[in-house]
Amino acid sequence: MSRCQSADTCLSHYLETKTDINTAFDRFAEQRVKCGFGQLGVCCRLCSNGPCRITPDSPKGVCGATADGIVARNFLRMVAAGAGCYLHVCEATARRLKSIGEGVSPLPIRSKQSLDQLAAMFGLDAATTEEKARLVADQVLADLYKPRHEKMNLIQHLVPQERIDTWNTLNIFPGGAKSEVFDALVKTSTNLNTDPVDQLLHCLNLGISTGLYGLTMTNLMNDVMMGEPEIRIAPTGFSVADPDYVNIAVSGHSHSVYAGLIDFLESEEGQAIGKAAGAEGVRIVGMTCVGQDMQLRAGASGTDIFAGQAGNNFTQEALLSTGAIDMVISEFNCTLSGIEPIAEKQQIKLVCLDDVAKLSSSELLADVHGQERVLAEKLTRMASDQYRQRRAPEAPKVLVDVPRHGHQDVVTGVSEKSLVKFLGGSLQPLVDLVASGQIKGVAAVLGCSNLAEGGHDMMTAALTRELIQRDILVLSAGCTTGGLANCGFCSPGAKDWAGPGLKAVCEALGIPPVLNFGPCLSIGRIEMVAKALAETMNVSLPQLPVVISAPQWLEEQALADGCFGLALGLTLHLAQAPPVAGSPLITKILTEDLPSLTGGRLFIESDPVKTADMMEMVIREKLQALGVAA
Amino acid sequence: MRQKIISCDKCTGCKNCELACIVVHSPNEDLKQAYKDGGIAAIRARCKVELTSDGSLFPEHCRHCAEPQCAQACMSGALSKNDAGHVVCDTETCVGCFMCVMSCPHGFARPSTGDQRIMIKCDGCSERVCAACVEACPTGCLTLGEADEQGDGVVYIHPPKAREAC
Amino acid sequence: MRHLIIGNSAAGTAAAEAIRERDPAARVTMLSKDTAFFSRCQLHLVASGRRSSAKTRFVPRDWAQRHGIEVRLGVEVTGIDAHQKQVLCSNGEILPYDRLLLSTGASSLMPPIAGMEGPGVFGLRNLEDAEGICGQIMGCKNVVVIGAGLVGCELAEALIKASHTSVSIIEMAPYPLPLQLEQHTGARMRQLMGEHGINMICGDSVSAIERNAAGNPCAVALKSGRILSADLVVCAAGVRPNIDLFAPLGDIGRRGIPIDEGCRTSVTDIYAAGDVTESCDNTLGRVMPSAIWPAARRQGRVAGINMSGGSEALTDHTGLKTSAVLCGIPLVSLGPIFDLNPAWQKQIYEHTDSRGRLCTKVCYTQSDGSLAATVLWGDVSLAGLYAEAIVKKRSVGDLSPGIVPDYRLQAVG
Repeated sequence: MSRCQSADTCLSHYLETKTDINTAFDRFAEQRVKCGFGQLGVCCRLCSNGPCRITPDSPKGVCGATADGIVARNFLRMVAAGAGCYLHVCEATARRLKSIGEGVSPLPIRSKQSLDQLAAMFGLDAATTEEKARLVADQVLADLYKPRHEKMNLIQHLVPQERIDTWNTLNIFPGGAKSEVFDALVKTSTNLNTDPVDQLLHCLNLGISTGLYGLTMTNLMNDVMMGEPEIRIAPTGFSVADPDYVNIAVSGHSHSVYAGLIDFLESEEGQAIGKAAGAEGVRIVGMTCVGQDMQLRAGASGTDIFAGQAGNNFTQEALLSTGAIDMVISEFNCTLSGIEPIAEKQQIKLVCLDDVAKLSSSELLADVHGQERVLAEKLTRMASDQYRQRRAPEAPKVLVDVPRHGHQDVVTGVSEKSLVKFLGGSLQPLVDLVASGQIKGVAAVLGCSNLAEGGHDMMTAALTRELIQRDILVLSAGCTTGGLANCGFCSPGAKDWAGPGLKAVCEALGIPPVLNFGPCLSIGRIEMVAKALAETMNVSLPQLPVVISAPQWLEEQALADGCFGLALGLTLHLAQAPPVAGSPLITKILTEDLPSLTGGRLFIESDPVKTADMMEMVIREKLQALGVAA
Repeated sequence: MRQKIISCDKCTGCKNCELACIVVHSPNEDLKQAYKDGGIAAIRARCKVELTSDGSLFPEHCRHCAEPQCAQACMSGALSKNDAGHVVCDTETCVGCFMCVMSCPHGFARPSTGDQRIMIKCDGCSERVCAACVEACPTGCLTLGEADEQGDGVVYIHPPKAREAC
Repeated sequence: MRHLIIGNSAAGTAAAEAIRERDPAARVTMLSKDTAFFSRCQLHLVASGRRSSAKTRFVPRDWAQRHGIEVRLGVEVTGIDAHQKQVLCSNGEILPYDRLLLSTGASSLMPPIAGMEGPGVFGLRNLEDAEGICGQIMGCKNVVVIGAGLVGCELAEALIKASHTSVSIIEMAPYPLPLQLEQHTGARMRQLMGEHGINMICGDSVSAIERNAAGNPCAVALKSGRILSADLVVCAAGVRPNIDLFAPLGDIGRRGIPIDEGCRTSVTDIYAAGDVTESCDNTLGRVMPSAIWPAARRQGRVAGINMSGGSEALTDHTGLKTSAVLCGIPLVSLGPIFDLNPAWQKQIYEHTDSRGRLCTKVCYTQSDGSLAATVLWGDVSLAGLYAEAIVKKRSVGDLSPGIVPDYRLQAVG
């Protein structure tokens, strides 16, 4: 045993050779000992009488807060921060769409069809495409900016009436999303709300706006600006970075922030800058989730200039150590601060386009609406200059060592729409496969990657393998996909790891047993698939024979996503408990009472086989309840 | 001589003991000052909470052995046992040869992380009424008790079981 | 009971302390030809002028009084009469003993090379050697060190650090510290020392030291034909034990006075400890010298206990442990790195920790999983655990950083 391992053995081997860099894989070992108070969520740092920690000898904080109160407060703060993150992305996306609609930003609308569908869904009509875009964006922004007592308007178009009724009964139908986040912070401050149940319900409320706006709405608006996903074959892994090109790695979550850059790089003029620097051209390499978004939509935008997705959140330090990357642009999270010393060593320029993601050594450039093209040219020149300085053929200053890594035949571009199109216009064929017993069900393995569950992507890969072996089709979105694709799960050859039923389906349709929906934002797409499945089967969401797992969740955003799933009434698995175990009350509500509230259910299990057993059982129970399967 | 009694099953991994140790070994015993200017890097805690391979927490503390091998290995004369029964290092005399490091069977004579090339080890807080780590422990894992004259300075209660060598 | 101890270094002092601990009434006399207590391991610091001779004293000022030891420095013993149980001193004095300890140490081995005899060529074993080098170094331009063992490397580094002069080391092996390092670490150490300004010449040896008309060294000729300018030469090519006193009396081994588990020699009431001896090394299971400070202290203590009527055995004894800080990086080498068994499995583990230190760990394990030899470089914090595992023939368990090796728990429970 050496450092923290990865399910991606090629990555593990590569890291073994890079002993001169310090990565999360090394630091994880140094941080192994965890504070039990933090893990249980029973440390309160809110006031100067603290930090207070709950032990059997000191069961209450100085203010009198119990373990339940402290845990609920801490948890709501985490969910609020996570919700805020996704809502920030949604807001940025809507603002860009509005700028295009208003004619401020001279960027293309790559999918008029998506815009028409979106406008029709919201009951909006306008004479021009631009006007339509403006109206849609205005509606989204209006909802985000509402006060708390005014309910969000567009939700009614996104979920079944049954959900809306449930949410109204529980009083969790959200008001203006940003106000809900704001008041969550108020609620959790010193000596305010002490009701753990109220705080937990607030978490579910935030989950709804996170999912429907932060995820779904962001996707739909990005589809308008960047084009709709199309199912296609694409490469992944470090090998996508071709050292003959100027390589710009992208990190973050807002695809449309790069609209100008992609547009410019698609032009002769853009490529000429790279060629003038001695390279074959300029390409974008996907480093974190926004790369997954580009991969997903690369059939419609950036087809020739997007090199492919390199990996996921915890592969970025290794990616930069290959020396093939000349510049990193980040506009949102999952950019590790650990890349900074590596970037310095490898002379990689770090640029940031949104101060929420400012690294201490990155240069913050203003992303002014209307100036997208100017910025794109500037970024291209910066990257090309960097290439010239560090990789000039006559005097290279850095060692370029790109391993053979990843897969060339990853099936990407799966979305709620492209999947229906692929299946011939409806999800009925999928329902039939389940009903006939050809496949046992559908599970989503999604979310982040962490190093905590046995290593990088270890639980994700092990669980996925278990599920497909049991003839359960896996849908994946987020860093899980980045990892699974690099382990071969998203290539057609992975059919051989599937059980006989699922394998036959894969062979018949030419698909892998794991469908790659791309970024974590596509968790919203998977939930749209769930909604469409429920409609096709004419059942409610809690009745749906679908289970979700976020096996290696990492951060606050994931918790907000999780709350969305629970609010939708779905069954959610986590391998690692969120920091709530110190509260008997919160634990009971989440794991026992939730079915009678939203219909959702949470279970925690760190063993991949037991998890797969449990997921299979939940699917079977739900199918039996519907009278569908054996 | 007073012994440090360590009840491993009560450790929760909060590392308060490590922090308290850093504080008492920092100039002016000031935590904030210790963290300021990156000075913290030079003040390595003399105790450490470790994780065993089966996932149990294990607070590691210098045993202040009856026959201290670190002091036996010391070629500069820096390491010796003081009147309180604690094995202490005179940092003025230590030249940082680290023969103590390779001789302590518990791995608790360690190189300093600061610029000065010396070893550091637990000094038993001889000059304090109660060792700082014991004072700071919120769970009762670390306590003090009276010991017999012959034994080491530390007693472990419920230490995690060793795994069979495989 | 009258105890006589010859030698005032690690073994001698440890024995004196042990005798006094057990027997408050015993009469303990320590004789030494040295005129001061000094730590041999610090001689490179004295030679480079970084530390005064006085500061290398490794026992407190009042050590003799505190322990009630009669210390007579500058007195050389010239003979031992084992029948009469007395020793003859250079000043004509005759001292009787009940128990005698020989802790006379070792001397620099000066290979028979042309030009070795004469001024300007030093060993590095005594305070006089170190002071001699220190006294001449200021006027020197080129220093040549023969042998890249621990003494040679530490001296070369100390001299470079004090920026006195240019320093070359000549080593027969392909890399420095051939007894302590294997190929991987050896190659990097060679490079690292080069980067630190030391002219490291490996795979070569000295054929002659050339001297000028004044009789001082001016160059060193190598086997390869290379000629290096040299106005000062230090020979650090090994040691030979100081056995002359004992040779007429009892058994002499290949490389020292053989002692048993209780540090007894073949002659009744004569004990020996430290660099003058050879004893069974528990790591290798072979009789050999154990030329390290901690082993000498341990032997001295065992001898002292047995001399004063106790019963103590040299258990888990080994001299195959080295610790050094070279080029600012701590290094610990454990076990017979110079005599590796091809059946051992070798594992190299290397990473950069978040303080930016490159940490290297080379482990050799036997087929039963027990640890046979280890090199730790960069982070040596847990060296003691590895050393314990090697001599006790245990497995090291999980080697991940941050994980407690399992046997460490056995030491507690």
